[in-house]
Amino acid sequence: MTVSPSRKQPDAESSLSTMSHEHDHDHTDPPSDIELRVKALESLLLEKGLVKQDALNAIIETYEHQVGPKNGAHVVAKAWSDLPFKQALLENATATVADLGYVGRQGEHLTVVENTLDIHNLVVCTLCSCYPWTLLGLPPVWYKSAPYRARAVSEPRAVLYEFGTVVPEHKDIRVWDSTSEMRYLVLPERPAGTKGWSESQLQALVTRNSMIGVELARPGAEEVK
Amino acid sequence: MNGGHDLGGRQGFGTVNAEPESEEPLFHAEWERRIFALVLATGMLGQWSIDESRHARERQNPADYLRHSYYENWLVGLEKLLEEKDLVARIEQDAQCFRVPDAADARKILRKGDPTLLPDSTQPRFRSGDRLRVAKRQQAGHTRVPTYVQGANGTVVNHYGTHIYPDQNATGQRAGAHLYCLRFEGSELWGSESFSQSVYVDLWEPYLEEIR
Amino acid sequence: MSLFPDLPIENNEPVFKEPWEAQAFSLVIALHEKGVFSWDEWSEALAKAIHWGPHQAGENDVVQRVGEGLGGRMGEKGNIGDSYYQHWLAALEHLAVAKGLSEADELAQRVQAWREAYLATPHGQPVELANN
Repeated sequence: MTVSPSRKQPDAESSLSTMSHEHDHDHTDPPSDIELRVKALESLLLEKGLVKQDALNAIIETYEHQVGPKNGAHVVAKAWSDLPFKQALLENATATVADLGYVGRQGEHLTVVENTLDIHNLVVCTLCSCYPWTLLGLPPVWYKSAPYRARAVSEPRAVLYEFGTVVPEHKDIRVWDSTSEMRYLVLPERPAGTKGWSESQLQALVTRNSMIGVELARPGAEEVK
Repeated sequence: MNGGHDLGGRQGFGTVNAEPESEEPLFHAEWERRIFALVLATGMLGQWSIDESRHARERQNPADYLRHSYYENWLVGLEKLLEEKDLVARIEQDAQCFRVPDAADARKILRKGDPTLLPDSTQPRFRSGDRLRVAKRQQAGHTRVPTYVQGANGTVVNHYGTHIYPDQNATGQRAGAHLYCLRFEGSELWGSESFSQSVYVDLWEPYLEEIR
Repeated sequence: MSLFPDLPIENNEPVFKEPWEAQAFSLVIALHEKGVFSWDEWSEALAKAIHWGPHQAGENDVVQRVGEGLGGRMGEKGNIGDSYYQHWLAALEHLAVAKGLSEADELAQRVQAWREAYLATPHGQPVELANN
């Protein structure tokens, strides 16, 4: 049902290059309806002064270059290597990550949930796409898709299996449905074979998906085969 | 309302088919980048709340909501809000009627965020450990109680304090209600075969009732 | 509530005294057919406009403009018969604002303008609204 937009909505460049070569060159093929609608909206809002171009650029720049999963990976690696920080993070995540400078939109209220030997956590937003932007950036397409939103709460083991993640039956899977402005971040288990690793070495093992809970962190040295 | 967006527990959507993390671009087309920025920038005019914005996306024929890609639903929502709030006509009548953010304002607003925690004006009715039932509701307006927990029993695991209550916030009234996090056993929601799994849902006090 | 409350039709009297009255009438029918408002909403809006009276309705400069735009002189203040389509216009304007009609139309026109700009731009050149 839900296909990723890359297949469903070709971007302007590809639709032009595939469609126009058969025609004579006295016109340009219009892009898809949705592209025209966005163009209409943007040109109207800019012309009327309801938005400013430099503000649009600043917003895009923020989420393309400044805010992203590296923020979350920093927090996780620090928690793995600094026990008092980890305790503070689990008790009051909002204030603890604010001390590292991670504040802002879609990260106003934060709870960090810890994976252990007995517990595996998974985050979803069944009603829309709530996601801790300040630590993970913007959510991937699958996180906003109907299959994930529908099934993460009812059959989490099957969903995890589709990500290649097998959670043993003795583990309690806890699924966090982000219905309020509280945002949830998973603190993955520290991989084996990372004894003595520096914070920056550890950081490289922390994937975005491991902080949503659909995967584990990358394995440490001894487990790489 | 329990429209096309209220997806928890629905069947028939198939597998997740995630793009590999290392290969997925942030935006899949230029128009997605543009509509993302437009939604955030117009939101900064302060003419609607996040819940009004969510409700504008939800108020669609469920078939349309599900057929659209996610950013397409953002476009539908923004088109609707512009019409309903009459922004173009208002700025034409009075060019000074909105404070339109520039780049520096936008960065400041993104960093500041929009916290929903309010000072308590009432005592919380419930506390951690309480067993409660989620009330059944067939509500026309915006709400954040998913259908799949309605009528189910759960246990309060956390009280987050008083937060802006979305059902009223979506109608332009900024009022608070106590917010709790409840744990629901998988077997309570999905049947006895769903063992060793549970769902945690944030629910406001008006959604909850004592088990009779 | 009747669909067209107080519609002043007497024997042998023309239904529309001026062309703009007929245009206003058909505009309402067309907008209803497009699903912009229900007849209940229309009846309510018209009843309110009549209740407010010709003075208030006539002072609304937007209504005046619409009346002029429709190519005719608005009826003089006076009895309900003379001002009936003034109320009609006031109700129409009220509903158009309430339904955000003007904005929706503006966006739809702009989508079309962009489409035409693409078609009018030689291939390989930048597409701008002004090319239209």
